[in-house]
Amino acid sequence: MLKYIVKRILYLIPVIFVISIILFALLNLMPGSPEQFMVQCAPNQSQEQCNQAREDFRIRNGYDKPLPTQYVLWITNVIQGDLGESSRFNMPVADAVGPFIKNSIILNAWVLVMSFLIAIPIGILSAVKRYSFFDNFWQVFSLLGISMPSFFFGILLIYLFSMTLQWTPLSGMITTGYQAPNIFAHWWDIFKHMILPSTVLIIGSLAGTIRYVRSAMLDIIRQDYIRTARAKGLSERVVIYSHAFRNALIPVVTLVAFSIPALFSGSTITESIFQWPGIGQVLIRALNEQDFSVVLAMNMFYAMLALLANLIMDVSYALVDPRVKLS
Amino acid sequence: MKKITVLLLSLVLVFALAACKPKVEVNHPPVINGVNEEVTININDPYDPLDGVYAIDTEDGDLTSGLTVVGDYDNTTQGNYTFAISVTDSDEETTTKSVTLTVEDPYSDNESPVLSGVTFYLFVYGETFDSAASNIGITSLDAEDGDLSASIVVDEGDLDLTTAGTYFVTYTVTDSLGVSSSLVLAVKVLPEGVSNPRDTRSGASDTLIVGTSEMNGNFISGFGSSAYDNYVIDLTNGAGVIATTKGGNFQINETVVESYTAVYEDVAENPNLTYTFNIKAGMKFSDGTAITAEDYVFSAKLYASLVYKDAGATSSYLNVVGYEEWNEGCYFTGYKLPANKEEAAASLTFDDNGTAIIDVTEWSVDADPAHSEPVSFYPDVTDAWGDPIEFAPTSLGCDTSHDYSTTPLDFAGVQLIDEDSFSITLKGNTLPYFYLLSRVAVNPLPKDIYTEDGAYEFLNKDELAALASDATHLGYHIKSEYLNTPTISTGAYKFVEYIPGTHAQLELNENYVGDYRGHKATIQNLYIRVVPSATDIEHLLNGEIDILPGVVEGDKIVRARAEGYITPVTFLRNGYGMIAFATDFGPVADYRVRQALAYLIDRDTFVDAFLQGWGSTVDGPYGLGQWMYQDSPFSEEGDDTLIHYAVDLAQAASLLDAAGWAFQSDGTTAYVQGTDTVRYNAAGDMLEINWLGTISEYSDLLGPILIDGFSKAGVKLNAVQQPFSVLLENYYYAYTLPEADRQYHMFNLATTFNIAFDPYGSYHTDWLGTWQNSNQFADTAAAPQVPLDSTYTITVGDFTVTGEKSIDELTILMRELDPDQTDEFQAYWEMFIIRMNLLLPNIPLYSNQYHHFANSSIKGFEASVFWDWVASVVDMTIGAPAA
Repeated sequence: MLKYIVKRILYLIPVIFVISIILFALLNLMPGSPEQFMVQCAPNQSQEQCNQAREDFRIRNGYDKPLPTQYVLWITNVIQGDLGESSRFNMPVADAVGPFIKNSIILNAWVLVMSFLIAIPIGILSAVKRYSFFDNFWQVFSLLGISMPSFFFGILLIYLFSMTLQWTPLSGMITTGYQAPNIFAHWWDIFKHMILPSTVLIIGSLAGTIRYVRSAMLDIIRQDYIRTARAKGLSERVVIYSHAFRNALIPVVTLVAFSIPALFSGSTITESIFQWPGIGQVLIRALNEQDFSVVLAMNMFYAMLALLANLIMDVSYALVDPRVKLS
Repeated sequence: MKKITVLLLSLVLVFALAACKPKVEVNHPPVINGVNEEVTININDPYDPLDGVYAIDTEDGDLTSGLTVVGDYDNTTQGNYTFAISVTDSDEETTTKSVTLTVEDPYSDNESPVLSGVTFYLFVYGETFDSAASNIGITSLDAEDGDLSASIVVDEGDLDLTTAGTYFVTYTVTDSLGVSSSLVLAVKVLPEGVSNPRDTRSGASDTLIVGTSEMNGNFISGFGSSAYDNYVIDLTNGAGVIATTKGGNFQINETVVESYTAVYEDVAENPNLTYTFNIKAGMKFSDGTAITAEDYVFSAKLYASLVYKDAGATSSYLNVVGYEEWNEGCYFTGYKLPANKEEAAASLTFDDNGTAIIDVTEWSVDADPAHSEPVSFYPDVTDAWGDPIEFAPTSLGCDTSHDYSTTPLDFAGVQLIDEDSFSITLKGNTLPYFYLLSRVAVNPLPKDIYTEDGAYEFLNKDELAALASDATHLGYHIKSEYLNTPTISTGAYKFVEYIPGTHAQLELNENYVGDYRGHKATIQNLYIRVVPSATDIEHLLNGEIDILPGVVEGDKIVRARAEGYITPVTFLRNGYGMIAFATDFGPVADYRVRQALAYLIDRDTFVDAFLQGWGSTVDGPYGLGQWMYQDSPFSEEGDDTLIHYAVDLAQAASLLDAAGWAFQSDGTTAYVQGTDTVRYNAAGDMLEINWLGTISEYSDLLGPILIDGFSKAGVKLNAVQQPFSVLLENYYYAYTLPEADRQYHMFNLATTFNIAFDPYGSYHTDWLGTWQNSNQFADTAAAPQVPLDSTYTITVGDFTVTGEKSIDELTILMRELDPDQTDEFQAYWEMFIIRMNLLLPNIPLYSNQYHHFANSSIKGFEASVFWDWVASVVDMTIGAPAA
């Protein structure tokens, strides 16, 4: 097993290199001139001063050098742990994006936990009571959730709960000017701000998970050993929850593993409607303003996470399903 | 008796003889009477020159009916007219009398009465409202008639205080000449039972929350701060020796400066100018330590220093003596530059294409860096195409023989004199400059804290190079420690905390010295909170924020003006939106084509749709908020100094014909308007314009208007919409591409000017072939795009410019003025605008009326184009919650 993991990780290295070259090339194909965004002229600055500053910026960031040189410079620094400096934030990329990633994780973790907590029982029940009203309701409802544009749904919730009923704050992560007396009050405040954006995200993600669990469960219910269990005269409860459910969990585990990268990624649209200070908005702005260090670092990070999640998924399969052998 | 008889007979004979001679008729000329020879009337006054005039003639009797007027006069137009009243008698004898008629406009000197006061009133259910001007606080003053406040007439329109909505009450005042002015008061009537949601917000009584777009967290000048970062910078930086006033002028900040002198160096040519400031005693940083002259010197040195530049910051104080050495970190050996025309010519060779190659080894060495002009021209030394060649000085690099350990590097133009005074010396060769004081503006920075009591120092080039790769220096120290957390403040507020993506928290700086009027802020806490643009107005309506600055979207403005406890604060923009051309390329290189396109774009329709009434169409590169514009004739109603380019197909067609786009595809058959679809020139090239727009409402609205207009006159438009970054890349850098790879002729964008409006950097040919002159626009005295009219004059005050000037000349003339030469500046500016209006490197479209919105409890908030909410914050208070 260990040998397998080490081998897989070794295989990853060339893949990551190829990805880095593709990413770097793609990014440099993007048209634009970052200095126009990054070097703003101060009102009391003369045009010459401003012009000089923009030229300096190009040279300082190496945008005047040929592409292969730029790539080698960049990758050498990355290997040494230097992801570069964000031209927007004027600080190392890791320091700049850190707080935003943290906020995204808070939101996404809650969404992930909640959507699995809701979707797994519903998926199982839907499978057990196939074609019942319950099944049909969730099929339609979850489809509605995934079909509704998050922008529209978000605005709808804001209109209803923030503007009309005034139950929830309009945006942000904390109440401006509120000094929480203790840690619980602090988290309660964050939770209040999280209700609307997480509702949008949870409802958007339910459909996939419910269907996945439902079909996994349906597969299992048709298996011979379930029929055997029923034939043994076990109660339906025991059949479903200890025989069927545990086996149906195997594909669900892989789904959970596959969701791990999603923890770290932002949901740009939902974040911007609710001004949740997550990574999604930062990444979009970095792209628009050509903050190359941030875009490259984040995309590399996501690529590596995806590769890692694949590995975890394979390993976890082997862990939960004794029939699977890794070699 | 016989004698008597003889006498009588001879008399009879004499008479008889006399009677026998042919009769000699003596005609009398007719006489004109009753003429008033010098008449002065008011415009449109009835005037009959023959009224009361009569003519008589000795022979013909009364000839009054034969009186005629010879020559023209026009009693509807102001001016002097000379004409004659004439009559001819039956003997063809004519008598004329000359009349001089002066038609005066009594209103030309009469100033309209001025109405001033609020333009917005929030009516809360249950209040009483009396629309009388005196009650609302609307007054009127007339230059001739004095205070007319008592005679203001109120028209309440359909005001209904029982139904929620926005109503308009008009106040009109008329002066003794019958000239009237009016002011519209918008009355917002709130529905019954609605309270101000702000009143229930906890801690609202001493906290101001301002909504903003996302900040970058760069809170120290020089590090590419965004407009939103600048809020924090402006709030935490004060005590500068130069202040920008509410009216947009630079002046000595009397709150900070005890006394100052400005002395020119005693040399004949380009004397340097030294400002010596003596600062007031007792000023303190927010942490209570004293502000001394050393902190000002430190600040100027830092912003120009090598270490700051090395940390990635923009350098300032370019026009201060010794900047180059200080910024480069070494004393220069000298410059190489051609000493004279012969040396310049001798250094030239030409390659096969005729491109000039300059060999600098032929040039002289000039040891004095002060002599380095940025660019030298010798007009007769030209390239193969006859254009003058630029000779930029070449630095010989650092003087390696200089011993920095004995005489350390210094910023020569910035000197500490004693604890309370310091001096800044400006380079003589960059003077005069119209915005002079902006070049000596300096705010104090806490030297001891930033340098950690001397642990960090300014470095010269060698010291910087000798630093270990992991060592830090003053520039990096400030960037890593204070950029995000500028803890020490000299402004109205001090920094408390910044949470990325969420807010910046500030609190009152007890040690603030006040702005240039001595005003200090009173609201204890201030948050700059990031709000999503989709719901920013809702945040204001819900009372989650108190101020939302800079709203431009029409639908948001309409909403915020109509609903909730929200008060608008409006001001006119110092900038404009335009269609910019690449004037060095394709058909639009010809100004006539640009003019023709302007005649084809329905600009007024576009501006109405885009701004929904909050702004207007402009005819030149100016903003409605600029004082030059407001003082110019262009701002007067009905003024036609500038070409308005209203849609005019015939004009466009004749301009295109004149520019050679007059044929069908064979290049010979004439293009027929209305029958043919696309124009060609004699070479058979199609008249195609490639437009690069952005993915925005702006471009979405503009596109159909362009296509519709252009197609009518046979101009083919190829429209492409791309992200803004792509537009900028093409707009700024397309000139670097070979002609064959160039694509786009025009772009749409908008610009906001600096307080110091200085178009030299954008339109002068010094910047040709750089992205700074983005239009690649050239209009010089030697090669004007349109011949210069030497008889043209513009007079402002006591100053008259005679002879039209090129854009190159005007941009230089405008900046090389002393700050008090405002008439000169105004005159050159007007000439600049008139010429830009003719040559159209950009087709000007619109300038906005910007809106800030504030919760109605926030009092004292005023704004102008130069006076943002951060400047107004010192006057703001929070009104008591409604009972």
